[in-house]
Amino acid sequence: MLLEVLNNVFTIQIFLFIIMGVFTGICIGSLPGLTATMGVALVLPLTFGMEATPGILLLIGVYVGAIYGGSISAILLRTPGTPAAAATALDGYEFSKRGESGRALGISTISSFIGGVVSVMALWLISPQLAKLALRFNAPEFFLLAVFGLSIIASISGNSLAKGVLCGGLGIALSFMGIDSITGYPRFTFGNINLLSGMSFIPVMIGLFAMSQAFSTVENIFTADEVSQKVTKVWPTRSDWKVILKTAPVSGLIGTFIGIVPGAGAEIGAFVSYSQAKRFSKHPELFGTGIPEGIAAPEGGNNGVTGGALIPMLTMGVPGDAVAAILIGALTVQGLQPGPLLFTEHTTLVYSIFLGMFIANVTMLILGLSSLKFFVKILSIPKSILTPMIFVLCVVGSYAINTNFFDVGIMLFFGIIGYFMQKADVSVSPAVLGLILGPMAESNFRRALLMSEGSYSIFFASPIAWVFLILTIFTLGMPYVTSFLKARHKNIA
Amino acid sequence: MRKANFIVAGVFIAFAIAIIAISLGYPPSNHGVPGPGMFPIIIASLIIFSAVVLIIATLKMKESQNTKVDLTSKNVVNVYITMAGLVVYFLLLPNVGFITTTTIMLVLYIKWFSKRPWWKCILISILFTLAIFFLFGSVLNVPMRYGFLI
Amino acid sequence: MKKLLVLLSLLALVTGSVFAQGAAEVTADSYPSGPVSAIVPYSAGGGTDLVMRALADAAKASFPKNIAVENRTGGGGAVGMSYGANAKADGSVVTMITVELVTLPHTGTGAGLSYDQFTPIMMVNSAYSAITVKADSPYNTLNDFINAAKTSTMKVGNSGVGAIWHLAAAGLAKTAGVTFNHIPFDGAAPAITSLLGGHIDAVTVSYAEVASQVNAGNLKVLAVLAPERISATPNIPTAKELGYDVAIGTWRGLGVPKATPQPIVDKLYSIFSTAAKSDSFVNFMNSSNNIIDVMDGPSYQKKLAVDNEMFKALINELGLKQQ
Repeated sequence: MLLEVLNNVFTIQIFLFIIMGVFTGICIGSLPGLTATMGVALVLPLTFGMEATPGILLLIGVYVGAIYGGSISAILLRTPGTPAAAATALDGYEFSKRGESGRALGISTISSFIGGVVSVMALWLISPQLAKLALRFNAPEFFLLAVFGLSIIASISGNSLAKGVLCGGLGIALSFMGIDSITGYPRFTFGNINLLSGMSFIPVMIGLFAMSQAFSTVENIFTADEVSQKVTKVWPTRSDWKVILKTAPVSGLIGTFIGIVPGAGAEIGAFVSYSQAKRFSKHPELFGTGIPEGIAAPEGGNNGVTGGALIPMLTMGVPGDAVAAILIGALTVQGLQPGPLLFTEHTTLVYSIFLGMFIANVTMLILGLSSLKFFVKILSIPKSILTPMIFVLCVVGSYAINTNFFDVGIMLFFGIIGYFMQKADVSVSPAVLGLILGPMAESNFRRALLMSEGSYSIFFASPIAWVFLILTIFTLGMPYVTSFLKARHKNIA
Repeated sequence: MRKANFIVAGVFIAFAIAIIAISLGYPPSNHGVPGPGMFPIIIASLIIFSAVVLIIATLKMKESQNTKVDLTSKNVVNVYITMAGLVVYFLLLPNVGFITTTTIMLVLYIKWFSKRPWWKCILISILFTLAIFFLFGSVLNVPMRYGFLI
Repeated sequence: MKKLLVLLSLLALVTGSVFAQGAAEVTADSYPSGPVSAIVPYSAGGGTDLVMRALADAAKASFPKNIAVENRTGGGGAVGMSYGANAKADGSVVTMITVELVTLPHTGTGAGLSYDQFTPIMMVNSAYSAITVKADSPYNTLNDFINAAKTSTMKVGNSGVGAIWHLAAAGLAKTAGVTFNHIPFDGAAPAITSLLGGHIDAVTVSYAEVASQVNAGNLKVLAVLAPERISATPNIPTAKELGYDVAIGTWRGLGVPKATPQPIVDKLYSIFSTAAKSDSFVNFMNSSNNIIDVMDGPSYQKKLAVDNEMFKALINELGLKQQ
């Protein structure tokens, strides 16, 4: 069988498709407004006429490339190309401000590779065991996972926790807009048809991160000196390697786990990894100022999701995230039905996917490292020319997601809001997190009560629920405990 | 920063009160299952609580931490002009068309920011606009043709 | 200055040619002489999107200036369908209309959408609700399930509140005289996942959506809410055979704005009905478990009217109307 798989995958045709896929993915991922999901959906019709293995691997290449590609624009321009890169923008852009974008991109590429490989290994070695986990998730577990995710606001709030909670609350409040998923009641739509399906998340994110940053740049555009970028430093130094090897594999595992949970995608994987890296760091106060961990953790985490999302998909036909849902469609078009039968009836295909995904990650590493110098050149364009171009990218990106001009207005509105929030020293990332996790928390809380017919005991009924409860308390309480212990230590000493 | 914090807290409190006022009119809970208004009210209360915490923290803030927030200097006024220009661009874009409005918008901003010769600004703007138009329109299949020009 | 002139003339040339193409006059016998866009009111990669893309692919030879699929999402389909209904009535915009066209206006979230804004070209495919339970559940027939629902509350998952599979479950409950505990999910996939995990008792989504799990032996279908047995699954009974006279399902078809000239409608019908018979489209539909169900414009128009009345009555009775 091994020989069959090798024969199946090691052909020039498959290699070409994977390279094409990863390349397309990196390009799509680095453009704001074009997400990994959209990239895979755009390439999908091409695979209709292809054989199963090259077709699926082309799509997986796009997926892996796009999740990585988002970090490039996040680091260089503070414009997360995909939501998965929103956490990377926190520390990544600080590197570029110092002229170390090459170093940041190097760390991001290698961490993405490590995260991806860890998840492929998990996919290959233990997917049947892990797959069952996905089915254990019911409404209460989803709710508690979302609450745990929201507790991360505490670690990405910047200088003031109160402001972070305000901003997170703003994000959750925005997510209320649209048709309520439990009763069908239209909330905060003000009779506007564009708000019926809710606030589009991508335009808000582009506005808060990229557009507000562009406005801030305008402030000093006539006076600021151009920061010269140190292009040479792409390969990480010894100390950076130490950080990467310590952070990325753990983040890859966290990402894999988040990927397995249906409905939780790469953006959550990245934020959870970032928060955990900060939690267990010896110098949590340095996060957000541009340190290697701040890139290695989210990048390892979001690429970890790629393999994780395929675990329930291949083993049970249950999509781990939006991209996996499209991949199910792609497999069905080929006349293959993802699920338990796939492993027994099409073993060669399944193992070819594993091997192909590994190759896709290697391709991503090679393509990424070899083109980093080219990416960094973007920053050699003077700010006075680059900033107006970013305006156009933000506009086109937010239009492209739903081909709706209303979204462009939303983007502009939140760009302006985000600018004033920066002025008032309010960090914007909690709003993004609230917007992602708010609906997951609310709908599952109410769905759980609908299932239990009003009884709250459903939230304490399973071990998974307890795990998340404890993790949440741990995340929220830990800073107080450590500072208490430190204070006591001092007193004793 | 002190004044800014008070403004932030005030705006958020007003926002939260509006949420609560609207949510109170939503259908009530049904057999123990929270209705559409419950979460908005919880989150709005949380916002009010955090805003109050922020106000208290700001009152206790040492004078040394009270950095000044610049909202009126010439540099910031330039930002306001930029915002206004983009709003005009956004209003014209769907009605006039992508290539025309975007080229003009780029020329004006690049000329303003960089003070380069006109022909350079125009060349850069046209090339970039066409590149984006064809990348999104032809390669990525995003419909880019709208407006009475293009 | 010279360079600027060269540049401007170049720009004029490019814009001129693009403009000329966009403004080409559309007349009935030369149709389609310009580019045509096909509007999908749901996101790229979803079931409706895939059907439209496969159909457009099969018909692309008939559109010399290209047919492009555009996803205009939002409002549960209302945004895209409203856009299509209000487009220029010259055949340059064809919209994929779905059953939501006759359900959204009654739930109060249709934003002014109405089925008579469209002239239907043809129906492409249909899918009926399949009452599906876990393979190891104690219920082996629809009667078992309904009887059990009389004594205990059954948790029945659907793809969203007010969505077609919610209406299907509610319609069955009404006919059988029982009440279900309807659990809405964000789409069919999470509902099926929840059923697989044993967190709910049944789902009422389409057969295509559960087919792979049924084939794998994880789920079983008790009955389909179809007027007659589905040819792909001849041994699954219909609810009607079992004494519950209810048939609820979704359909997808093509429509153009009402004012579109008849010759263009006829031309579109001939193009798309040929495409629907092509090998590539038929293969695609079979492999993706979709059932081709072609209906010409006039009969489709009648079906729209009948379904519109049926859903209006059902939604009002269920109290699903908002505001």
